[in-house]
Amino acid sequence: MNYPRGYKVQMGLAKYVGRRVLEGLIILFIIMTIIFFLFRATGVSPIDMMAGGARMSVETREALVRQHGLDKPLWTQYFIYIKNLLKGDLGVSLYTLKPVSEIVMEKLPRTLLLFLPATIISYVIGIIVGRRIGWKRGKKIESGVTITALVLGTLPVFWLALLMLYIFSFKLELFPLGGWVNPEVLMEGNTGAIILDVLYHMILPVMTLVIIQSGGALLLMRTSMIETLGEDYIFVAKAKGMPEKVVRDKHAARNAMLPIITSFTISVALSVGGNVLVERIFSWPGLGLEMFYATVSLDYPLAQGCFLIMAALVIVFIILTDVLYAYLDPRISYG
Amino acid sequence: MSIKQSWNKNWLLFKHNKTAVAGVIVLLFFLCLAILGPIYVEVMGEREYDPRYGIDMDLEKYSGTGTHANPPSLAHPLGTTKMGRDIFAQFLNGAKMAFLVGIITALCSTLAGTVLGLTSGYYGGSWIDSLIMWIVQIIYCIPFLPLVLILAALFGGLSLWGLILIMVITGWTGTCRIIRAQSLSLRERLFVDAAKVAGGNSSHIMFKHIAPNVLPLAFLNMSLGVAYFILTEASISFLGFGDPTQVSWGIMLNSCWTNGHIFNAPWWMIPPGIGISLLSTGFYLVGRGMEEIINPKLRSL
Repeated sequence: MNYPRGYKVQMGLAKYVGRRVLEGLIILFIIMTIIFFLFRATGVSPIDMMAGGARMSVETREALVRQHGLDKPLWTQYFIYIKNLLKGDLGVSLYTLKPVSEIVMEKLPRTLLLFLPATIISYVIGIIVGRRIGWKRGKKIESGVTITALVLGTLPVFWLALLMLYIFSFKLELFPLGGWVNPEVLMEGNTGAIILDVLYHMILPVMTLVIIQSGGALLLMRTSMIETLGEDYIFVAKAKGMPEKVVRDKHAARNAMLPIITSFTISVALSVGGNVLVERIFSWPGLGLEMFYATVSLDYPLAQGCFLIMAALVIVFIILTDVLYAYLDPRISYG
Repeated sequence: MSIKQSWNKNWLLFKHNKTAVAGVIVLLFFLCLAILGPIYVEVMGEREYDPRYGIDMDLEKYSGTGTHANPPSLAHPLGTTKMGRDIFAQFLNGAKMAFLVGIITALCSTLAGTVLGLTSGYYGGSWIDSLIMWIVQIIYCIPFLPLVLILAALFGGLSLWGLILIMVITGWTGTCRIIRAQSLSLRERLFVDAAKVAGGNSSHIMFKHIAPNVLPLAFLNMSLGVAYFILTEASISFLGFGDPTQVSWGIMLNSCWTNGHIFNAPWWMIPPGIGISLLSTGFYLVGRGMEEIINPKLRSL
């Protein structure tokens, strides 16, 4: 049997980006389709999805049935659903009766406000410490830091969050118990004061996330550093008599950074889904908390909307990762 | 190299790896706890100590919490919950649940990921490969926790097996990618050509010649997978979407939290969290040990 061996196609970066974006759109479309059939398969009526069936008059119900083509075959319904999504119409929340897209767009920036800084700080710490630890291979401090990072990385994020609340908010009374801004400050309308108050509310959740995420970044940097240190050019640099710090930072660390940068965007993407836990505990009113309440109160359109936006975000970040990687490492073929 | 030879060689390396041995010790410790669970309940009396239903009737209300949540005492080494249930018994049961959920899920997802990864890599470039990689990409882009929330809303809660099923369906992709990459390079090796010339068919070559070489990698992924799935199950249970008929560490934390005892009953909140992180650390350590065996660059000399 013969296999096409040179199947990795070389192409320009622009073409590669175009292809990845197209693939991302296809994936998003497939996820939308899966969600549509998932909802239909479990027998949740789209009418209940849209306006809470029990509280409607017969006329309203019939009007809705006609409007959304529910008397039509499944395929027609499916096309209406896709058409609405393409128009950016995610339906109406059952409880607040506000458009889902409006709610989502209000909550999304708050989620990013919490998770982007946390991930950035984690990776900066991880890179700085991991670089030194990888260099000090085999020393006592290396195994000590490695084990600490491992243990911190396996702490359940929600448990650590509770501990932090217990210690810093309840016992020491240093930070607020939750929320993202004090309503009184918000009412006063002083922009500077509001920003300060939001930052104050951010400290504890960000600290929690940093403790957990920096361990993983550190371990990755360490592994990558150790692998790089085995390369010939490091040996040459050392043999030339370069100062240790220069070899470590300029030769080794710069090349070891590659997997870290891609892992950074991936971990932002993954935190999009994981944020439900942290937002729930710190009552941070972002997308995750919204999704949680939507689930608990069976607000289907809202839950569906939050889910689709999160999936779209993940896809965007993953494409970003691939493109970044292709740009940074010319050795890889755009396969 | 046969499976047995590769096993013997790697076991020797594994035995001399401090990280791995430390991990194994942690795992054995928790295994003992899990086994101790039923014995403890049997000895202390099922009516008072059953992790799910046992209630100690002699217990007074504790002034510090205002409920039957009492701090550790001789009768209850880790204290009691709001209902007066023994936390130590629940903790031991949680250890059993963590092993059960973690290992079953990791085993199934690693098996699926390995078989699909082998197939994908062996037929690299063909439509089978493309199909599998598309499925991997789609699953990879679905945010996991939100998916569980959606499913919990649609099905009105998830049973333990339902949860395991979702974790398996979404969890095999990482292993699949890694195994695929490995078998893509392995199929170019001479021994594969030799096996082809000798007349071996595809499945024979895949499972007898390529599989033994990716097996250590699969074990590594499984070990890391167990840790990941223990954490995942705990997260879902903590949010309140776990199986309420079971007592796992995540469910213990959930009931402590929803009953408002986070701030006044630390004896209830601390043990499950320590259990989750220590046990997952154990599996991570074993995984790390294996990683050093597979990737000689990481080995300390």
